[in-house]
Amino acid sequence: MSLFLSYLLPGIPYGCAYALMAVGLVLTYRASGVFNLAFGAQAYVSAVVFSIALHDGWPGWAAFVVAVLLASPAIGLAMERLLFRYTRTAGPLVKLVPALGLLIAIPAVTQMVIGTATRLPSSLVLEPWKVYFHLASTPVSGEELSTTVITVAVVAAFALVLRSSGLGLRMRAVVESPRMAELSGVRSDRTSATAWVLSSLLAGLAGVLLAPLYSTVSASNFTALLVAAIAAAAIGSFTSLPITLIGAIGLGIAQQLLAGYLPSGTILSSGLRPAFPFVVLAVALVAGRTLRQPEAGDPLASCDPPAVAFRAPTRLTEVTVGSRAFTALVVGMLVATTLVLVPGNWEFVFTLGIVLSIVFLSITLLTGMGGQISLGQAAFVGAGAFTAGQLAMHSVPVLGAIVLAGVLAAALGAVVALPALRLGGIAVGLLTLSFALLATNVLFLYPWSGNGATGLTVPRPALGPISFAGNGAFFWLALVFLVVLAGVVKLVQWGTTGQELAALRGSERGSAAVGIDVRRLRVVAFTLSAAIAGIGGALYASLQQSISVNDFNYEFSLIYVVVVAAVGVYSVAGAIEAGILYAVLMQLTSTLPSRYSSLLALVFALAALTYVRHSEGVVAYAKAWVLDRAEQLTRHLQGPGLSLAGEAHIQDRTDRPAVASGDASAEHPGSPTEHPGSPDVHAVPRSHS
Amino acid sequence: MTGDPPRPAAQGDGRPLLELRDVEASYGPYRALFGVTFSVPEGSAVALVGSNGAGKSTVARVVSGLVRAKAGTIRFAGHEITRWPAWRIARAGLAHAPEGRSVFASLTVEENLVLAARALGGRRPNGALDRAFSTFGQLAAHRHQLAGTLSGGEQRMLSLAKVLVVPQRLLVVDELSFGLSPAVVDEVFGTLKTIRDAGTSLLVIEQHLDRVLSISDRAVLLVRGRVAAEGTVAEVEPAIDRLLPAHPRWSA
Repeated sequence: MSLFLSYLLPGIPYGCAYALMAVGLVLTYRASGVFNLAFGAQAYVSAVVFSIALHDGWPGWAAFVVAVLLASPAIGLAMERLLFRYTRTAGPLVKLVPALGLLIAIPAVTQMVIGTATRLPSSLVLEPWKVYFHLASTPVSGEELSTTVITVAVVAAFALVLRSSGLGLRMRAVVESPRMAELSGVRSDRTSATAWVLSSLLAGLAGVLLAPLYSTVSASNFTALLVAAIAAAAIGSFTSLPITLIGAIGLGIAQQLLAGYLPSGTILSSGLRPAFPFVVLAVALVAGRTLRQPEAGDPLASCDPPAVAFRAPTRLTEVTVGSRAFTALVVGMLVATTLVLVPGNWEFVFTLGIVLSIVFLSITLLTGMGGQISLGQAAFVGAGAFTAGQLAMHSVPVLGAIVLAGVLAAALGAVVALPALRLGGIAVGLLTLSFALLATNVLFLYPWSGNGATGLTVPRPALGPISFAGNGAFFWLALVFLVVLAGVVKLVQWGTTGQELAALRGSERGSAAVGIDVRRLRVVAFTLSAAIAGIGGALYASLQQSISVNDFNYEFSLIYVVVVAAVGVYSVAGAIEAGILYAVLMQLTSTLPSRYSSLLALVFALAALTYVRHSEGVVAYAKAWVLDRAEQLTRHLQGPGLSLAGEAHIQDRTDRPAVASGDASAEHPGSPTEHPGSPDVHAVPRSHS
Repeated sequence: MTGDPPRPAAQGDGRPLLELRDVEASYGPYRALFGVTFSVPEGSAVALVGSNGAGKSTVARVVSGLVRAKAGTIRFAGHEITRWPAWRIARAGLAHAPEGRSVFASLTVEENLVLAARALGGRRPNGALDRAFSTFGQLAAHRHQLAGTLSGGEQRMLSLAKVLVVPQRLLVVDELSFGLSPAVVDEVFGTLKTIRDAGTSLLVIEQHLDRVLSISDRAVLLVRGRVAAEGTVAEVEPAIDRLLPAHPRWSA
């Protein structure tokens, strides 16, 4: 019994820290529909600030005020004011991408500011390691005691405030429709800002309380904390605060019990403990009440101006030809410089760019075309890489192994898609994230798969007499794979499946209503995407020649999504640009001092914040901008008298009165100028006199 | 011309309760209102009519602050409210029941009402709730039901109750009869009369011309984002007949 207790008690403070984060997650989710993954980063910042302030000799209360009451809420408020209030009525992907970007950007910035020196955590109230009393002969330390007491008190206080002040009710109203809430006299802006400040405060508190449980203050600990918090929130169905609290503490205890009772020294005992929250998350998502959000959306959404279509207007032939020629020129120069001019390691860089492009294509297909969020692509990439490695070890020709890797990854994708079938939006992303963590911590560690930290070696392929051992030769091989796979994705996009995927992205119910088998379509999308990711992984393995589980850490899945979304998630070209750009920037930043090592991630994370305004991606947006200017210039050179197109055309239509006819019967509803998104819009004004 | 004879406009203190002057509005590049000018006298019921796409709902949204006017001024109860946010206009006594689904589907009937009573009228919603449930008797039976599961008619009733838990000076209702059966439309219009008799002025947007004109003193005809005619119902009716001839005037 005392053994059981000695395993159980240390789990409680962990559970409490999970609970604080989870309650914060539920708060923002209910007030703004945003699943704020950046909470992990906010907790990290608070812990860092607290520890620095104490080391600089600040009194404890002052450090607490600055770290918990100021720093984290300020970040939360800035996020709400500058980003997330513009995403209130947007879809799950638009809400997710900036949060992911912040999860990556905030620790990166923090690291650049404070450097990479190891920080020792400081405790909040009591002496952390002093044993205050024994509970059934199990020592209870100050850390454990203060964390537990503070958590229970704070969560209870929050529940009370939410209920008695009506804030909880207002939050639920605002998340359903901020405009309708305003019509009821609710200050929607202030309500959601309040929710963000309060929940950020919880994240900061969790960070400061949890820091002493780890030996150093590092960002990855807090990402793991975040995932445990997500699991606890899922247990509470992302609504109930009490069940979330109980679930979080239960999770913390269960982790400690697992660590205590599983045979030590095995992969399960070391890997399952960090992966356990993901198992819980997967079970809670699949078995529990679903996270499926009502598709009805804000009934007053039509107050917003109609969305601008992604597709560029039809351009002048000169501009189209010019831009294609320019693209061909750039691609040709890239290939030429790779093969002729640049030093050897740049061949490797561009080849890596092509391999990454293939990996990113899998996101283009799944997320860009089908609207399905996957935060676990790294698992499929890794599965492909290790399959190729294992097959090559058993003397399968490497080219064949690369293709077979795609087949196995596809099967894995189909398996993961099955539990995802009854989930929607963000929940699919969380489920795939949990799969990736399971892969990183458990699946890839076995000798028959990734062989743990030792990893595998994978030779370069050969085709009969042709060897691809050199970087230059492998470049051509990768390019052939990219062209074939990009062609496949294009064909899918143009075909029936592509149209169905586009429909699925727009509305799942609408797709079902026009006779699309949504379940089958999702399985197809996941399978195809995983196959592409697997082939990309196998090529990566063969390119690097030596791979280990660290190459396919779950955190890469998050970075992948951020990079592709930042550059352009809707087009095949976007995936290729993202791959090349990422590889080139990685090479350029590789010589920077270590405190700037996350500069690369930061660049893309900040670019991802623009996703709120330009979901087509920074590069695609820039291209459209340049082409617009080119078109204007061409027209200017050609002189007046040409028909107008695009935005100019709309402006022209709306502001120029039509010829007055005086015939009232012409004013029938449904005239071609009426915009479907805004029922009361008339594009052609006419004098009524 | 066989409509009910128009009632004389109720006389207030002389100044109109709501006054729009040269109001312009647009959705992005799409312009919806072009210099709309009209007023709602205190204590009156004004019908806002026009074909689909004439700008009626946009007028309602501009008045309640959901859509910001690009130009012009809007005055309500002695204040210029053109740049006020929607919540402030709502608290000043201008209620707007928008068209379509306009209740919080994920909240219960009672929570819908408590939310509005607290935000509009201070901290103690009990008296306001009792008043609402006595006016809208059939809602009382469903008070703990999710509003999204109510029938269409009950949802419209709730959307009226929601904005009226606290007494309001002006109620703007948009397409009250949309998607409702004729019997339920009768009931909802009966409620409108009750509301008006309790001292709330009305601005009513409605496709069923006969119904809306029968309860209104004045009418405003919108055509393509401009006011084509304004005045008493009798004054405006010829213009309606001329400009909306294809309208199902007498269909219920």
